[in-house]
Amino acid sequence: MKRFAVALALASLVATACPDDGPNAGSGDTASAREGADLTVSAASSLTDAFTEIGQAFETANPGTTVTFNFGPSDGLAAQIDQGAPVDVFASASPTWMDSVQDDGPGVTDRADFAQNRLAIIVPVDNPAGIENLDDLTEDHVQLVLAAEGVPAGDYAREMFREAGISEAALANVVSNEEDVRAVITKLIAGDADAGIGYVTDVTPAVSDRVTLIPIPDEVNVIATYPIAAVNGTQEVDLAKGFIDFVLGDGQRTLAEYGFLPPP
Amino acid sequence: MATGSGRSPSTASSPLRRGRTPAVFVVLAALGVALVALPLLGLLLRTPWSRVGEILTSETALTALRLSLVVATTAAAISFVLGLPLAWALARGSFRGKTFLRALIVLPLVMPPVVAGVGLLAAFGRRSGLVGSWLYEWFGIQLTFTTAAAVLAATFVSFPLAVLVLEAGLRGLDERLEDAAATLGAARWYVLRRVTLPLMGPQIAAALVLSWARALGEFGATITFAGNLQGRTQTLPLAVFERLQTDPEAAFAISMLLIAVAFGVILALRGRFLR
Amino acid sequence: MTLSVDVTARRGTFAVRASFDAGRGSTTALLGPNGSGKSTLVASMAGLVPPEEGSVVLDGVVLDEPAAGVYVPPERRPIGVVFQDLLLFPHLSALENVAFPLLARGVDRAEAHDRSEHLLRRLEVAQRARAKSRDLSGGEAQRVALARALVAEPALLLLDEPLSALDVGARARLREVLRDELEGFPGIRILITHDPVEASTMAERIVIVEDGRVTQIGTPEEIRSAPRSRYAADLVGVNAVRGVLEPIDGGTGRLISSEGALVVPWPEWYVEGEVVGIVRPIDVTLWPDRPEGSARNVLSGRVTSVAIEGDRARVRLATAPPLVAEVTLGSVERLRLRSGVEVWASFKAVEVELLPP
Repeated sequence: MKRFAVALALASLVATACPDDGPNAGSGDTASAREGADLTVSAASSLTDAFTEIGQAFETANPGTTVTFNFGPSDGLAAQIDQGAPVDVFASASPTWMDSVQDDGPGVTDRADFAQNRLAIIVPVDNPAGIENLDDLTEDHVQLVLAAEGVPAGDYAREMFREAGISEAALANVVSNEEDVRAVITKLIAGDADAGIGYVTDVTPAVSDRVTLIPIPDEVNVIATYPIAAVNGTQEVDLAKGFIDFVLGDGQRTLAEYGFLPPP
Repeated sequence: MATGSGRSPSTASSPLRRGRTPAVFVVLAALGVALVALPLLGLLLRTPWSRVGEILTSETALTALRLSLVVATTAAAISFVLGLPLAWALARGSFRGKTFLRALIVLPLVMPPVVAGVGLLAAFGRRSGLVGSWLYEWFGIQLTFTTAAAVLAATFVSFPLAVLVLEAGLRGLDERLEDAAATLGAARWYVLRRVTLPLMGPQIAAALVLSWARALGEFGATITFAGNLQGRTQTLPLAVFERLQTDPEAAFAISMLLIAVAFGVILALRGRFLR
Repeated sequence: MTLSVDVTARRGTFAVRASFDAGRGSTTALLGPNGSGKSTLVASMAGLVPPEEGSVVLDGVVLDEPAAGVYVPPERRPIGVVFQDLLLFPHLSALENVAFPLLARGVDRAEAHDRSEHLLRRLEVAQRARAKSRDLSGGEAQRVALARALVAEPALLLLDEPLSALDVGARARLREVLRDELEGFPGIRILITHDPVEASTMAERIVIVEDGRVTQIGTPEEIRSAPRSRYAADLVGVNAVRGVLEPIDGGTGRLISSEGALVVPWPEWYVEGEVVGIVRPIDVTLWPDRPEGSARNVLSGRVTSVAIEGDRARVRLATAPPLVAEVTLGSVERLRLRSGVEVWASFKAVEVELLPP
């Protein structure tokens, strides 16, 4: 009885130590019952809706392919890739974090800018603090939510405040720094924030009945450039290139529908 | 008082005889220790020891530490003050719905912390909260985005621990000692102060330590309900999370700080109150 | 000052109905087998179990009267209780335990400790004042518990089986201390016990409680001479002879009482003073003539009464000292036992059990 129990413990240990078939398990894995390949894409949170649709279109266009998305703040995604996460394609909301993967991480191939985005003031649909423009954000008692420093939307917002000359007053009103731009929207919908700085693309149909967009004049606004690239070390080099080409091609229409600007 | 370690033939080979731990137990126990120790060991090794000094004396780290200590200690204190009477009711009261009440109290323990945060918003949010909107409209009090919110979130998740431990402690008391105290002329509050609570010393310490430790590590409810702002709501776990995105090494260092603080306090208190 | 108890008290499914009075200057014993309801009565008098019916009145003050909605909680009763399990506070020292009732009543700390120390000294346990109560021996703990009950000078002292947890030696020593304390205690004293010897030797009045009812109240003498229940009869069934000891020869001695002498085994612990010798009636054998044999106690006397109890008979003998013998009905027949008949009684020296007084 004793020996059986020990054997059982050891057996289960060995079984769980055996790696799953991951996305980079490699084509030609005869033990797998799947056809085609798996692509893992890490993309900035602001791309959630657009890329999900693009992913589905790509799968339709390439039967047998599965695209798995990992959405999050670009800084966090870059950190994951640097730590060795098995990601095939990285789409960042700012060049900074693509540079980080390129220079300090595994390196990238086929890098290209695929979209641009603009910042906007986003408020709850009932606009409790009556925000109408950037200057209103400097009023006392306005509760402003930004993405944290390091998150592209957060860095862009702070840059924009500097351009507009309202840094001190606006930043004094910040009550929370969120981990990504979608969390900013959440605080506006479910929480108590009066206003937030996000992308124009963040007011998606899904939330448009609960938040409103207030445009920021182009003179002071920051235009965000979104690069995409294949991560070095990927097992799906061709598929990754194919996806990137798709984003740069058919995907552009989808991106435009969601409010993204074309790449420079 | 001897519990008889007799050497009858039937027990001679039983692995549960006092003093001999079965081999299987040792293996399993070692796995358990490994489960806990390995992540800590990993963290210890990954911490950038050359930068540790600079990281831990940074404003971010120190502010988060101070805030964490304030929030966790306040949460533990509130958990105790509210938890003791509730534990009393559960241990000694006789009323219908006790089982239901106990299940309710345990809920925060099994609830995902983010869900707890959402719940807190639904109750105390300034705009749509059940109580929060009333507080705001009538008194101008807003809880979200404040340190108080961090305390509230931490209390919500650590309160059940305090109640459970205190209830167990009360159940373990010999109530006749309290009867004796009464016959000796002690009024109810005196009995509580001088007999009941002192006799529960170890359990009270355990309740405080456990709820404090849980409050210290609280993340999901805090970030959802209180937000994340340095100096006001960014406790150590939130600081680690934020740092993880941009500077993982710094995150490791701050994590070590959190662990060291918690470990130190638990070690110190448990030793003192262990009878 | 009197205590009047006239209650029905219930604990769980068990109810005890009792009615008795107790005055100051005497000790009243509640005597009965385990489970008879004595502890419930104590709990009632102490205010821990409010009675269902009736009243408890101490010195004119109503402590309990459910019908009138009167209930005085324990902490407001002028009582001192020594519990069967002592219930000393384990987290306090002996001194702190004794000082507790005073401190709880708001007495100044220094004075409380002073008075407590004093009392501990009187009970000869002052040297253990600083010891944690859980480190005290059985006898020491008992004294501390007694001190704790006495320190606030209560009007009513309740002692629940104060000696039952002790071994024979400790019990003997403590009995003396207890007797002195009780004698000097000005209030009403109630002693609860299942030991008839304890009841007889320490109390002037005995209230017999059996199965939730009081079956007899009286002095030890009254009960002895006219037991009104089987239990009481069993109780008094022991012959008790009190006297001093004189050694005879190898291992035996003579117990000399005012009413006669018995040959007894010499007890190792004896130093001096009075002892009580217990002879069980069942051990007393009756003979028509002087018996031959090795029994060292051979007495003759007249039968003063024969009481048939079921299939046994208790025969009272005017021997020196007077004895009660328990015999079969057959023996009653055979010996033609009835009042006035002369018989011989015998029993061995070893059949006398000696107790320190």
